[in-house]
Amino acid sequence: MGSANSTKLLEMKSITKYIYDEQGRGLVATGIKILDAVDFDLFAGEVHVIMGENGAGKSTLMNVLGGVIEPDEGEILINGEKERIRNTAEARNKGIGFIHQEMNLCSNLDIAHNMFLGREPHNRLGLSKTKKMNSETAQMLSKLGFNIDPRTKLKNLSTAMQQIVEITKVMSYHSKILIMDEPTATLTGREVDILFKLIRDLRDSNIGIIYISHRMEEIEDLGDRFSVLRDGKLVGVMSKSEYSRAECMKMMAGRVVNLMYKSTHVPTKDEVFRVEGIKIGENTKPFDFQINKGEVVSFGGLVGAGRTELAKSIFGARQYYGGSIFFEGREYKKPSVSKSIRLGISYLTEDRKIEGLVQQMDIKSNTSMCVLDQVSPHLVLKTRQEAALAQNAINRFSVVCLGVNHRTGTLSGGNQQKVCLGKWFATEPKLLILDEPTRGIDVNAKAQIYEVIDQAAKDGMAVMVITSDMHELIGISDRIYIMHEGNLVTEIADKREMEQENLIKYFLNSDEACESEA
Amino acid sequence: MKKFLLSLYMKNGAIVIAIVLAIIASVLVPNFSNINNLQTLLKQWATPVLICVAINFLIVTGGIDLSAGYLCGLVSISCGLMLMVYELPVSVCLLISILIGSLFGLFNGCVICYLQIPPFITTLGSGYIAYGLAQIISGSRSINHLPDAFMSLGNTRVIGTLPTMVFFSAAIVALGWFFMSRTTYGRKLEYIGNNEKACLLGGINVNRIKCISYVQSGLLAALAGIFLTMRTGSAAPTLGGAGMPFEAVTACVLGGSALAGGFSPIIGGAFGVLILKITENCINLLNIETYIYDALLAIVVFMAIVAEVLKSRKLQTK
Amino acid sequence: MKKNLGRSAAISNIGYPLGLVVFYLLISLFVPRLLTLASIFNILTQASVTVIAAVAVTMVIISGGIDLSCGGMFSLAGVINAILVVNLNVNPLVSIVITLLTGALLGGVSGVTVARIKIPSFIATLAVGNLAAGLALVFAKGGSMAGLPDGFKWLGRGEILEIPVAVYIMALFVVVGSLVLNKSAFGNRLFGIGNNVKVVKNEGVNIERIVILVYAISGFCSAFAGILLSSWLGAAHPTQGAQYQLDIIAACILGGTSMMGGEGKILNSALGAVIISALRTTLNLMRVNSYIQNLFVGSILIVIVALTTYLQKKSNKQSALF
Repeated sequence: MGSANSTKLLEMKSITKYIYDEQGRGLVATGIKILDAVDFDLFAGEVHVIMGENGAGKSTLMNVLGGVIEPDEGEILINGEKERIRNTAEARNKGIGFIHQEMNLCSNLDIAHNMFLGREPHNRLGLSKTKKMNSETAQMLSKLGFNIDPRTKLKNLSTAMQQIVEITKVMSYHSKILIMDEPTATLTGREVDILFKLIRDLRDSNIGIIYISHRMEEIEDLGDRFSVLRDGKLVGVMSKSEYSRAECMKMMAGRVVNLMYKSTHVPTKDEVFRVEGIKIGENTKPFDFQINKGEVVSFGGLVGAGRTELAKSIFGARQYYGGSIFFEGREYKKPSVSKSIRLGISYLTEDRKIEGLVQQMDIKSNTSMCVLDQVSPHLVLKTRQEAALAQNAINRFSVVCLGVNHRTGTLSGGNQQKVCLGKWFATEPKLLILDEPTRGIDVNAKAQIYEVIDQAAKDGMAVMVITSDMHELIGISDRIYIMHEGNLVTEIADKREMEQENLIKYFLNSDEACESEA
Repeated sequence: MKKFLLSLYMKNGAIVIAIVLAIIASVLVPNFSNINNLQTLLKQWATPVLICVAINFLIVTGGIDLSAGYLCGLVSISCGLMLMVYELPVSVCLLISILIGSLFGLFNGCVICYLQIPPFITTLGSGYIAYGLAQIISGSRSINHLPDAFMSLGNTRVIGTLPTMVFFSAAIVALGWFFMSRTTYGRKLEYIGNNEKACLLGGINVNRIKCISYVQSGLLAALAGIFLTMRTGSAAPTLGGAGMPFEAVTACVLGGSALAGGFSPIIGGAFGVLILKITENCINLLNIETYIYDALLAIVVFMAIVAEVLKSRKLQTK
Repeated sequence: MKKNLGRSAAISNIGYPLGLVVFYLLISLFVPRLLTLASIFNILTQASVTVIAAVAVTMVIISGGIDLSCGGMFSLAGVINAILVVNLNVNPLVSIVITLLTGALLGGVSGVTVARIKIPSFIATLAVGNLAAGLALVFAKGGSMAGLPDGFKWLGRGEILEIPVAVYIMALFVVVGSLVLNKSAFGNRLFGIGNNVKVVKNEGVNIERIVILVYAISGFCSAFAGILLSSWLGAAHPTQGAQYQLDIIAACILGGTSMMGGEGKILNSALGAVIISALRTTLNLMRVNSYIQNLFVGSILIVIVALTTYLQKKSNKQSALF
């Protein structure tokens, strides 16, 4: 355990990072900080947990440490020496091992070949020293307490074992600092125990571990110290003795609510859309929910809670595992995308660039995509009607552009999103599903989109919004459903219960919250 | 001035090159501007341009049809058999021939779209299947002396010695242009070629549209086979050949198609075929060996690929 | 654990050779003549050209690409070699070296187009292949080139210890190819690239160099196969390579190489080539037209790719999150 006598492996002082471009350069002029003077340190032989809700800056801080991006201000000291980490190779050389959520291994290679990928040992003829690779790999695995045949192909291993291999590989570079980002996301009970034993063994051999996770029981079990980030700032650091879950959640939440949301619509109790017993995965629990006319119902939760999967399932773009869907009173069997659109269900995708817009084409082509056969019913394109439709959307949503022929790829994020909205509103939806509608959009455009949502509800649409932004969640919703790892945790219909500390409890699906439910 | 020329080229490159080439040829190559020669040129243009139109529609969505040439032969010999051996009326023969081509295209389309096998492998395999079938049903022989009713359809001279098939082909090019740029079908192809994921989430039936483009390719290959039969006067399984798709791709590239998909101008492609045929014609007139033409094709594609990539790089860095 | 691993590996190692033997015995029921040593050697010799190219193409497919230029390369290599030896009286050994280098160079061009310019490999190699085929016609002035010296013809027709030289050469390529693929850093990285390029890039590996190299190797092998072919034919025909493209790809696919990349075994591709050669010989002896043979091979191609793609997609689906 990190005692007063152990060395300070890492010290990050006053790290600041502004919102950055594709090359990782901070756009200081915008004044928008993703990290704001964050201090963080790590001792040898401790597990230091970092907590924070979506967008708090955890990943960014770790990306700085891992060499993916460089800080705009502040300094990093490793073992007391000031260091500059310019890329991932340098980070690795300085003893920092980063275990990401996505597996950094090749499934078709065996363990040994994965371990030595890029540094394969060979003799003078150029032939790999397979025996050496295998024996060294076996050694490294057994040092961590595992007895797997290094010739096993990765795809034949369970996810847990693959993770063990990943950790072994990272450790093989003599890492003294280990960063683990949501390592238990894909693991089940027994596998988590195996992983935790490994982590404890590593800690006991004086490795410093930085652990990022949302699973309260796990981090409380494992952590020696706890740092909480919020809006890019360090809110507080607690030692194990100082830690209490309530205090932790208070630190994570608790901001002044922004007054950007004006609600002029009045939700009704007329059911438009109802789902009974839906399972979005083979092993998730069935749940029900309902959306009424003129209502704005939000789905909150952490990234990976399964909300997009839910939306895609009811839209017909994804398979689900049981349950019935009822649209306007009638059962909607075997959903498909084209059927949904015809019925009046629209789905604004999470990622407008990849799944929403055709960036190479102009606004009018994009806005008429879903209604092409209605606007131009007899094969021949009716460009005038299309242009009118597009102009309608441009006016309605205040799209800043050079006209209906403007190539959408060159529009700003907010305007691109508005074009997507235009595309879906053209189908005259009765149920509008919006997945992260204001992600990556400037403040003004955000306000406009909230107006659009409000107006849509006023016009009688049932609106389902998926959002990870706490303010947005509280600000626009008439009702909130919260999901966690594919299951529905709770429904909140009382506006008084819609406040951050309360919601966070459900996001994290902590037992306290669940007990109070029961 | 330079900018104007450049933008003119970017939009209508193939037309410009074709005209320039024709002018140069009429000056440098003896007998080029002879009326008979020009008419021969157009006759030679009439068949490959059909395949080019078909390929245009395919490469928009990233597909290809390597079986087109072999399908020509299959349809050719089927047509011959129907006319001579079964003595079916000409209109019936034509209809069935087109049906054969379309069904073959449907087979290609279904295997590619629903079995998810890459287009080049599917059409490579199906091309050999078509060739094999053609050989089987023809007993490796060709059928000559086709009935006048059939031959006159394509060869009736209109305007000098220009046969009707040239006008048919021109009409098909016009139709192709219309379908590509003025119909929902062409628009959907463009959507799919540029962002298939958005289409799947936007209600566009991707598989159906792609399949249709393969049926279309089969249909046009069948037509090409019929025209070839009319032109040469003999129905043979060896008509067409493996080089046709590649020649068509070259023409498309010359016409400004994006090899990565999403954009493929029909008119450009048609002029691309013209450029190639002018070149071939000149090679013949100058008594240069014909295989130089084959080598030239490959070089042209190569240069065009590099040029296109350099062009796209320039647009990116802007 | 170790025992289980050994056993399953052994099964997959024995599977293909066993399958080949079974297949061979089956078709020899139709044509008993096949069971003679002479027939077997004949089939192996005929397969050797396909095998040599398939060794390299297997590597290309494993890296996630495809090489459609082999046929054209065969023709060009045969012609260049013939011109050097017959017309320019160059020493056969020197001529072979020059031809091989040309093949590697052209392959490298394909590689650069795929790696740097990011053109899909099937278009790039189709273009290079057609270029090679065209150049072959140009250089040979449209006709066959006879007059290859006897010493040269020994490669394709000679024997050592009563086994055709071609068989030794083929075996050599298979052995060296397998070693390179399975026991070198290059081979390991090829597999990695075919499975997940990001991971390999993260290790600091120069992806472009590897891609260019694998296509250059393919050009080299195709050139060698072309030389061997013209040696066996006794002359260089400018279109000698065209018909082999189908068989080369079919051999790789029959040998279990996955079209999605990351999986494949050179020995199995070689066995696939032998199976196809045996099949063709049988069909020849049964007087089946070569076009119909192509029909068979073409159909087999589609069926097997469909099967393997379906099976692989099925196993991939089971690793979704929910």
